[in-house]
Amino acid sequence: MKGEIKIVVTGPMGAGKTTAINALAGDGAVSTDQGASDEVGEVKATTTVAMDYAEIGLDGDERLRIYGTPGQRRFRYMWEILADGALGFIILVDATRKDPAGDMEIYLENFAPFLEKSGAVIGITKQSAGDDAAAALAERLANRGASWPVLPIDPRRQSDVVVALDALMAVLEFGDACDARLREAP
Amino acid sequence: MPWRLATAGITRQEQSLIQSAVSLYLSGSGWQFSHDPGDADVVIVGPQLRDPGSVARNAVRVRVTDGPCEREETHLRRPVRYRELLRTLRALSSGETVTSDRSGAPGDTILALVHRAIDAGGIHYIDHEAFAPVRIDADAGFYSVFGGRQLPVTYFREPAGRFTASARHRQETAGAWSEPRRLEGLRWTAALHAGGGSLLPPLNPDSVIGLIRWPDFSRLPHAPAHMRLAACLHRRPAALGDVARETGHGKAEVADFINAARELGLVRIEAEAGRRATGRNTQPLGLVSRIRMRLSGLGDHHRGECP
Repeated sequence: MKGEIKIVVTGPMGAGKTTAINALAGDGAVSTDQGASDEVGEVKATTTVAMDYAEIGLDGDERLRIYGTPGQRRFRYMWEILADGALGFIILVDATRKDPAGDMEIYLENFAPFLEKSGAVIGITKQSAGDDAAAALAERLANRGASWPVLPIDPRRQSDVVVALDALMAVLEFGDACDARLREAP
Repeated sequence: MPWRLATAGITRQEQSLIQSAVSLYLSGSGWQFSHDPGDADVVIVGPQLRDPGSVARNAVRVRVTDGPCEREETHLRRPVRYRELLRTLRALSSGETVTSDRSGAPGDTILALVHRAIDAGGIHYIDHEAFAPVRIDADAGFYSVFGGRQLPVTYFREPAGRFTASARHRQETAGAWSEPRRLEGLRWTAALHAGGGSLLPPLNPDSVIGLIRWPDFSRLPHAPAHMRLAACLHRRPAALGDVARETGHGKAEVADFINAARELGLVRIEAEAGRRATGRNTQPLGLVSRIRMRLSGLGDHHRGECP
């Protein structure tokens, strides 16, 4: 589905990708969560093994498709499949993990060929009051020469997920994204 | 060629204030005071003007007034203040029409009182006869509104002189104040309205401005335009007019956004003054517009009021 209009939500396991997509689409979201039987079970009860999916209707028959990748690296074969042809990315990073900036780097590296042609928003989740993990991530991004926003978001809140998508639209509009679909006449 | 500024029909005190403002602050940016209104580019006129024919036909008139003015007329409210005068003249040299109706200086709104409260630390109360009282806990970084009400936009446009600030409050009763809200939200909204569509000093239309970090839009009240302005300024520093051209938003809207972002320390002023060439079509991209329009129907994230 090369021509589809899609956004990919990615990031490490437990960052809130499935939650964010559910918050956005409610009952309309499709998930491939399975009970976690290995060490993942110590972190959370279920984990995504293929993808999460939601869609938002645009004009006419057009649909914005939102895919969530599996967080575990053993399912990374899915990452490229899902990322191919994506308009943009939302990378969720869990602020409570040991090295949130390092986590972000993993996804920036793995999706680099796709990010070069599109744009991204970094959503930092589980950030507590007074914690400024967002600042560290923003600095790391600036060092890489990327002018993408780092936004603290609560993936349970639909309004927060919409803010991230809205920010992504602004990044695509003013960034270096070279997707021909963005150049369509209004 | 300097801009020649003259006065006609105003008081002697006003004339001397204007003359000193020009020689002290504006001579370096191409302004010169002239005693002849018949030969000036800009004339500041007051109600005592006896001979309108003495003012050059093509001169831009800035009316000094005690009362209301035509909306599109450039004017200064009495008493004339340095900052308001400088802002008006700088805006004129950049081709803007100044329609501010506030009697105070730009920035001299609730924002000034919030700054004083933060500088002093501790608990402060801010009252206004027409609005709910506000309690600021400067040390904790929160504020509350009495009765839990929202603060309307008009609250943030009131001159500082109409507020009173104190360390004690007569309505200090348990349960009557709203849950604490982040002070950043109050500062952001206050700064957003403080300039009345113009950049607050020390910024001016020639300042080349960059955004260090995006505002925390998931926790700040924002308009759809703010996302686009953040993306534009974060990608590459630019002067006010360039951002307005590139985004298609008005200079006033851009200036308000920059004032708010600067209030939260998110803005840097570039050392090099220079303009960037832009070939971008200011029309929003089609697909992006369609997605954005659809997103506007989801959630309640575009709020014009302070949360």
